[in-house]
Amino acid sequence: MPSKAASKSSKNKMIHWLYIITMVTGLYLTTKVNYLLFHTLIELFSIIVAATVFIITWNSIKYIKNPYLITVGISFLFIGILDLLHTLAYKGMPIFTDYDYYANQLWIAARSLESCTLLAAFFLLLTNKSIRAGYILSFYSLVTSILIASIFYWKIFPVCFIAGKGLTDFKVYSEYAICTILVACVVLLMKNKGRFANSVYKLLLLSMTYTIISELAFTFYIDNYGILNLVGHYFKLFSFIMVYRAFVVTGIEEPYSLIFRELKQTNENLLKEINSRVQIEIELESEIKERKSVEMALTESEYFFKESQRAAFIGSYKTDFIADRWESSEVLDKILGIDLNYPHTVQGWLDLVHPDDREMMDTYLREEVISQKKHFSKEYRIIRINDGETRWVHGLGEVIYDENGTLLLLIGTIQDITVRIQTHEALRLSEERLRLALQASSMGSFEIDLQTGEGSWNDVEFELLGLKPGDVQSGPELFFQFVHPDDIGFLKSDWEDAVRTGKFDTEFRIVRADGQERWLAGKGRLIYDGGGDGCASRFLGVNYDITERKQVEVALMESEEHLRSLADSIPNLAWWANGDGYIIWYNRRWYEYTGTTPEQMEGWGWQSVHDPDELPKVMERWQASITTEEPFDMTFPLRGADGVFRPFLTRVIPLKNAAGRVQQWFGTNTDVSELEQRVTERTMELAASISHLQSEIHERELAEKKLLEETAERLQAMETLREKEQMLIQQSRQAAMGEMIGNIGHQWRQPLNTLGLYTQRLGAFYGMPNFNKEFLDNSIAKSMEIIKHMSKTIDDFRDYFKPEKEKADFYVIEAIKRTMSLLEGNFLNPKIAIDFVENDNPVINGYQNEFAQVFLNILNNARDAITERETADARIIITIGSENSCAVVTIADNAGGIPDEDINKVFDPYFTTKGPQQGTGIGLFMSKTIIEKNMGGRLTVRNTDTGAEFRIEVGHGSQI
Amino acid sequence: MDLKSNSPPSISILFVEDDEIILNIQSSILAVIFPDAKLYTAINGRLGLELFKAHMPDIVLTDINMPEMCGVQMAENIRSIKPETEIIAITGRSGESSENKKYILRNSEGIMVEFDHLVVKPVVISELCGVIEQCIGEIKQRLS
Repeated sequence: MPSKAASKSSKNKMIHWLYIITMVTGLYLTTKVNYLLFHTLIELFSIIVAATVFIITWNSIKYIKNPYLITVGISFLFIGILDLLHTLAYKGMPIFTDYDYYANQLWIAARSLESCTLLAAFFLLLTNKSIRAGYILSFYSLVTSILIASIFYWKIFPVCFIAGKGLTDFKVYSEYAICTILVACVVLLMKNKGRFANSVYKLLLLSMTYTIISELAFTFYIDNYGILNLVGHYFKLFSFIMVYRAFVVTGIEEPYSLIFRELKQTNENLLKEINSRVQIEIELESEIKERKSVEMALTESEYFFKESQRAAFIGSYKTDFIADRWESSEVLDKILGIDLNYPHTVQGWLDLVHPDDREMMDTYLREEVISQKKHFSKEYRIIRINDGETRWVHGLGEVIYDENGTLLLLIGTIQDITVRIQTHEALRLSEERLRLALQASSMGSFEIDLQTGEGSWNDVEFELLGLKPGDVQSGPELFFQFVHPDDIGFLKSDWEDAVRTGKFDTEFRIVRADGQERWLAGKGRLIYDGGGDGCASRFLGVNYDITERKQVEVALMESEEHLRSLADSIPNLAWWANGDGYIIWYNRRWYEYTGTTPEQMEGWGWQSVHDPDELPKVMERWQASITTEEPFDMTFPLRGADGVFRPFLTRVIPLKNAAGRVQQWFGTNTDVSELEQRVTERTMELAASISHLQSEIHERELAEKKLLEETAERLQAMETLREKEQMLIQQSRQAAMGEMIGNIGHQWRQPLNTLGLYTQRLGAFYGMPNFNKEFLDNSIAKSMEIIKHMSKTIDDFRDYFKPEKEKADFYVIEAIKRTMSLLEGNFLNPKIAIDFVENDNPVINGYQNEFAQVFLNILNNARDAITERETADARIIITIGSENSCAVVTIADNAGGIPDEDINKVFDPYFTTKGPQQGTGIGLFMSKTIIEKNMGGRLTVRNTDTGAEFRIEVGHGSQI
Repeated sequence: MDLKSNSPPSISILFVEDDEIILNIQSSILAVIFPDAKLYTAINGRLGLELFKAHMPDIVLTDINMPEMCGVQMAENIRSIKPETEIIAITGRSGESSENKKYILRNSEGIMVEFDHLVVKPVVISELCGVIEQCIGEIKQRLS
């Protein structure tokens, strides 16, 4: 493409030059016929150009803002007239026969007029004075008439040419003077390049240069038909061609670049502005859409949660393999959706199982239940017969064999667990979506425990301040560090009020970590404990960035300021009214013209300056406009301070808000001249743009309000989720308790046995020679030792389950050792070596039992992995130390590690690699919650060369 | 209850238990009650098996969870050496299944062995002695 365009333009250039050469040669050939013919043709051309330039300028005068172009355009009519006379009076033309050299005088007159005009026009341009076109026209008519009269009638114009002698001194010096003026014009033109379109500028420059050359040629000639005269006329022709191209071609073909240059610039700016606004609206819209989908998901999960609370039915069955029959309870029939007619055969039972699960069930039954003689326990899907719905069930059963190992019976229960499975899935999704939604809406949230003063933030809150999430301990003190120094005073007092009254709604500036200044909004509320004492325990709030809105507000303020000062400076009368027509502001000119005071004019006071005869009509029209909300446009008289009524064109435009209702009216009263009307229009435009800005602010405020409402709902949803989470912690605590009770049983069985034996030995040895006081004391001492040990064990377990209400400082090593003592015996079979590496003795402020629960969870997982993978020389290394004012505990096993595809999922709720009987999938999820949410620390995992390593990091408490 | 009667000198008992205190007290009690029986004691399954090979006792009393070799593993080896040995398990767990008045125990490696009797911890001496008496009766019956 570029090459094609280039070739086209070079082709155009060639044709262009061909024309010029043809014209120059053609004109030259006419000199062979008659020099007069040549002269007349050239002059005629410049006369036509001059006339055309004038016509174009005159007709587009109301659009041209550049006084230079106006003046030059008008002057060309008169230059043309002088040139016409010059042509007619040229030596040899049979018209003015009384004197041969009128033409030389007329030439000087024309060129002087031209050069002086070009110079004078610059002064008009530089001082920005606009002169009425009529005045210019009259002025030129007068000057031209004087010039013509001084040549033809008074004959006082100095002689320019003397036959046989050539040019007079006057003529030569005049030409030099003209050249000097033109050089000055060239310099001025170059200095004011920016006021002209580039192409016009170039053409004007060329035209002036050619005129200078032409003039210089004319200072030398001695004969009106000589060669220098010829060259001079050629350059005059070239100069006029340039003027022609500057005014005529550009003016007709590209009017915008010449005349509407300034308007075009304004349009482009407007377009950019509109584009950026549209962009903002699109972004807002997509934000709201996203939020809607999250809302839906939350509602869905609520529904499933309620469903799950309905009591679960458990049905029972007994399958006789020999008779190929099974019996089902009434509840089971309901679960399976069958009745008595359903084939109660083994095949019939298999048909109920979901096709996708049949193979799995078959394998499970053959390889695990039958060959290993295990209990039957499996979660699988069935297709309910009566409605064809897929349901999840949990089957439990006992297999009974005869002496020869033949399968006899399978007895057990089936429970419908569809709702439970769906709830787990929905909850997981909903939590993920909530997290994403807060992320997507860029809304930071914070929560402050009013008892301890500690806070927790979501990731966005950190990002708002320009921090990396979790880099530093969150809390109000940290937040205040980032507040703008000018705003910190009122924000702190707002915050104190908020904690007392529960109301927090403020806007303030922050200085982000990267030094950027932003506006934030902060809103929040107190959360009261349910217990009835009505004590506020926490403060929940959100922060979000409102910098853009603030910028628009500033733009609006500036715009309004601008409008007022503009409205004050215009020669028109102008005013603002409320939506109901009550006038709230008049410009200075109004008071000047009417000679009234603001007190007199307030509200409907303006009626006093109206003509009483016209007033009813004005009122009627104005009321109609207020009612219909249509613009008002009417001419009526207003009384001036001098008591004279003058007609004013009154225009009032409604400024509508986002809802489409009129918020304000902007009115102007103008006398009917054209210029003033244009100012009015410009002012109207400005007013409209203000209205636009106002409605944008209104929209933004609406969007913010909506955002806030949705956030409140979301906080509610978060509360609900938190309650669920609390329930899950309880649940996993109970699971741990179950395991602990198993441990207590294990730990007590051995000492109980020993104690029993000591006691029974007394009976067995009674009456024997060695049954003496010493033997008796020894037995009692040994028994008491065991009893004390058992009592201590019970204390340890009781401590573990004691609910902790408040955080307390505790030694990490002590907490771990105590937990380990509860697990005594758990690491004997299979034998697992436990190594302790104590690099430091750190203290944590938190909940010791929850910490122990986390430790226990991780340790149990390590043990399960070692058992499952039958690791040889099994070993768990527990390292306790401090790093960067954090207590750090690592628990590393050598069971081979977590598969790469699972390592990112181990902390997800309901993720488990263990079978459904062993793992709930809650343990590690809860551990992460406890460490990260309740204790503000971090729980991470990585694979080492030999196995998995869990790492707990919690900030130091005060040293005990 | 006359516990001292009917214990022929030919009867020998192997007692295996990993807790040393229990091993000592319980064997001292058994020595008092069965003064005529020959009593061997071992602290784990491996030593128990060695003692068994050396003395071929009639009755084996064994704990189940022990280091080095568990009771089930030891019992399996004993059965292969001398199937008619009366083996009594002393265990914390209740019996896995009891059919035909026999007790099948399974260890973590999946080995399943049938025990003749099962005594649950904490041990009641009279119950344990009753079981031993029963074993002695059966051995005598077999011999006669």
